[in-house]
Amino acid sequence: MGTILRLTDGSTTVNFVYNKNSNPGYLIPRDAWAPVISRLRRSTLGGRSPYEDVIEEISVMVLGATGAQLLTNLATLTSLVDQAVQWTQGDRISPVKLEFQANGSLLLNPTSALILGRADGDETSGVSLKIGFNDDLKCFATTIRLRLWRRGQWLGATDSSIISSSANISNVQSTTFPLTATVLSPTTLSLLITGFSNSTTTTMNGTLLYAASTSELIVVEAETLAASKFVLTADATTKARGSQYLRYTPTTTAGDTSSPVDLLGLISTTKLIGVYALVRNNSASVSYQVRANATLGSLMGTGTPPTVNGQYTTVDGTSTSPQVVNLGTLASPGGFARLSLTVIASATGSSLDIDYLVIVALDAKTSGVINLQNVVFSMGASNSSATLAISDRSLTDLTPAVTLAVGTTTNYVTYTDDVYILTKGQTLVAMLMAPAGANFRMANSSGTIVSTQLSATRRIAYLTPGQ
Amino acid sequence: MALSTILYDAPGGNLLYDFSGLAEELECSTNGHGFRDCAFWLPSPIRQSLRVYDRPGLPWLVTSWKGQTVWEGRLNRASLTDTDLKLQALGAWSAYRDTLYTAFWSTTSVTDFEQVETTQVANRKPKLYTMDLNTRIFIGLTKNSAYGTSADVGEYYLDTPHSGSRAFQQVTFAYNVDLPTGWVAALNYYTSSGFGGAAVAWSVTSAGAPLSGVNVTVSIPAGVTIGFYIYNNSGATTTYTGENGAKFARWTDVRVQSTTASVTADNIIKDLRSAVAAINPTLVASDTSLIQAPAVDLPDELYLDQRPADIMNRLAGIGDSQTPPRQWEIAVWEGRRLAFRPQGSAGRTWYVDVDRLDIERSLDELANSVYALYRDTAGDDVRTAASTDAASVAQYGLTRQEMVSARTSNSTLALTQRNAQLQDRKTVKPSTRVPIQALYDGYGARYPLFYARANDTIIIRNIPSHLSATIDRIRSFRLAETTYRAHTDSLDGVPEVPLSSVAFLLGRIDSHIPI
Repeated sequence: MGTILRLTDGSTTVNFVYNKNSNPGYLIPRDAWAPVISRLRRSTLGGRSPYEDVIEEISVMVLGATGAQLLTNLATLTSLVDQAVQWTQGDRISPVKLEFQANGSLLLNPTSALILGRADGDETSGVSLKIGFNDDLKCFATTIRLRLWRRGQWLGATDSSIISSSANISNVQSTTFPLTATVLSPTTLSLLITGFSNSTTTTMNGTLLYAASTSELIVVEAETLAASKFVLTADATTKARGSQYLRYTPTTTAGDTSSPVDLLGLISTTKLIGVYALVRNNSASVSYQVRANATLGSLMGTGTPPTVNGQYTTVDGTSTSPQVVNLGTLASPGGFARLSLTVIASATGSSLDIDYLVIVALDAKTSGVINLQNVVFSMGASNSSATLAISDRSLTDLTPAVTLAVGTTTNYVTYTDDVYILTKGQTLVAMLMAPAGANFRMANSSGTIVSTQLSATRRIAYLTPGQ
Repeated sequence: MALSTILYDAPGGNLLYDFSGLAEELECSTNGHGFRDCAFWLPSPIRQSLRVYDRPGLPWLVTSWKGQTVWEGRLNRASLTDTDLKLQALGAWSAYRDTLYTAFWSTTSVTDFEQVETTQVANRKPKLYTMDLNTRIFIGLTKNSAYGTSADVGEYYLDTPHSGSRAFQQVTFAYNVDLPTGWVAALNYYTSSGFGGAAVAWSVTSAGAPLSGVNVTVSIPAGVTIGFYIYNNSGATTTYTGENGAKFARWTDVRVQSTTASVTADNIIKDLRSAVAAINPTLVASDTSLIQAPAVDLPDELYLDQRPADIMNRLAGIGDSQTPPRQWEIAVWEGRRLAFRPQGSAGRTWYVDVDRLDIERSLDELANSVYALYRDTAGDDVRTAASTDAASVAQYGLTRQEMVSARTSNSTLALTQRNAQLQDRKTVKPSTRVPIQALYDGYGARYPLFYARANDTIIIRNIPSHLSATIDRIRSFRLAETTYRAHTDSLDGVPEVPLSSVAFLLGRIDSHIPI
């Protein structure tokens, strides 16, 4: 494969690889350019590539059989750069990409990087250029220096995973990519949710958790923490996971601690976990302070491992419906072995139900948590499914987006947290904690729990597009 | 690490803008009142900036990380140029600076009582009586005055503040009544201004012999005015021939309250929260489970046109009933919930390594002998005995006195404030500004930097503890403020009680700390 280097919006293209017959308008002198290699951002803000935007400097000869042709070619190049600037400013036009493929690359298609605008010193505007006749090329020529801001990563072809099998909502599901990404790659995660009843509306406030493997995202049934005052309770009506939940009924306001449960299946090398619980406060006037406690793992050495306590989270009486509660973050120098809960009630006379806990390893850029607010599944007369998508939009927009599509209608979803999902390797796992109304899990009007299937599409990223 | 910073149209509302991928130089700060402010800028053409600038309502900014709130608050300031937009948000504590609060809670002073004049109520005849408020409410008969039956009343009254939010609900007192037979001593309450809606809450009728009582508690079903009074109910006009004041009614140990419950800081704070919520309901959470009880009775609390934040700051400074009393904190963190609790009780302890210290130490803020000044129920200035901490005197080689002005007429409460002030000021706290590179817990587990907050404790673990006798006060301190900078992933911590004045600089620890 020969070298490809071009600026394009998908319709207009400026090709910098000279060909006397097919592309006589532009030329990059030999050895005049090599792509800049980006580095990881120091900033901790997400919402975009974790790699720094870079300035790409390309010295370009603009050519023309006549002076007028040269100026036309120059104008085409300038217009494309202007278009990139306008797109960044929010104009309703196509983005401009720099596409590159090195000579001898094994990739089937060139890689792309979004152009964000001009950097200082760019000569596509505001300078007076000298136009002369080039005897070697037998045409008019001028040399300009392009200095453009671009996204740091080169993004290759899309890599679509195999859709997972269908399972009841609020299960950890796994999807596998055909290829392995060696660099953190922007990913669109899609969750197909099926089984809704026609002509119904369901509102969900849920939490999506994702990670790179099933050992980084585990579910713990709360019933396994049963102890005095924490009683396993059968659930016949509100769609609890496993048809049962743990009910805490305080007899004092001093607080109580559940039995610990082994964190089977949790990766032993994680040093930072987030704990999320699906709970229901059965009183509008009693508040509960809930805390996760973790016994540190066997990597801590011999003897009795210590226990670390998280911060208390308040579950107040604002809602008596099931809700997802973040019980905070726990850190360990050597893994985690067991987990328990401590609950303090502001008054006796009521109870707190806990359906299940989700533990996610947070010390990786390939794991994350996204809270979804007021997601309305509005099914038409012929609709029974919806697709929730967290889209990276890495080559089409400055920011990612979360959408819900039902039939031909797509709406944006309100969320919190970073929704620019990154993956490496071949696996993505995810789980949607999805209480709705009085139910711990979303169900249709017949009471059947809806199902989900996980899939993903990513742009394989490269730091150097030379592969 | 991937923070998000997102603007919503209201707390828990719809997403307006996700600034995560666009924001530059994001800084999030905390202080003793919770989330303090958050600021950043982003490149933005003017037409996009104006969509934020012009937006009605009060947008809510949330910075979060993997499902956890790092900072949240309301959009306070938007400033734009033709190329940039700068935004600043304030934490939810700012809601307690938006409104004013006027309310009576309790008084043990009689100096605010006034005589009811004839122009106010036609049958009130103060000129017929000998009356004074000299540490008591005293109404006595005057020699050679004629008192008509059921007329010619002598009365002292007390009003709630005009447009105040609370009404009188309870009066306690001791009484001594020595009046002619048939005379009545009573307590009225009035349910509307101008002495309207009068009703008798308590009364005694003299049979000729003196009457007395202590710890009398009378419930008032919501009065805007109360009045202690006497009158002739014998059935016939009486001319009093005795000496002035020899026949009288006297009320002492008077306490008037706008609640039948305890007048404590937590009850006042809950009412303040309710008052703010009534005006700006979206800015405060209804849950009060984080408001704890310091168990200190507050006998004299009257608020006139004050900011709730100022009132709560003062209440937090009173301390609690523990020995020694603890300072309390008042703050708003996640979910707009108001928290009132012993300072640092919810804080975490972090272990950090530093490679640079700037330390100030000065005796300016030292106070190891403290007395309180308060005004008693008679209106006289009273100074409590000084409480001196001998260990502090020995440590610093001097006795440094301070007076704390206690806004109370109660000697017990004045002592409580004295003790709290001594506890807080008897030890010199060095001032440093500490750049923190990494945050660890006691087991050496590392946490993201933005987990450190005001009222957390920092222990600098790479300052050896054997360097000096006072080194612990440098290596360990409570944070008064934190500022996290996302663009450099760095944290600055400011210890509590930062000092001003002349400073000396300690350079690199391994070569400059004197032993």
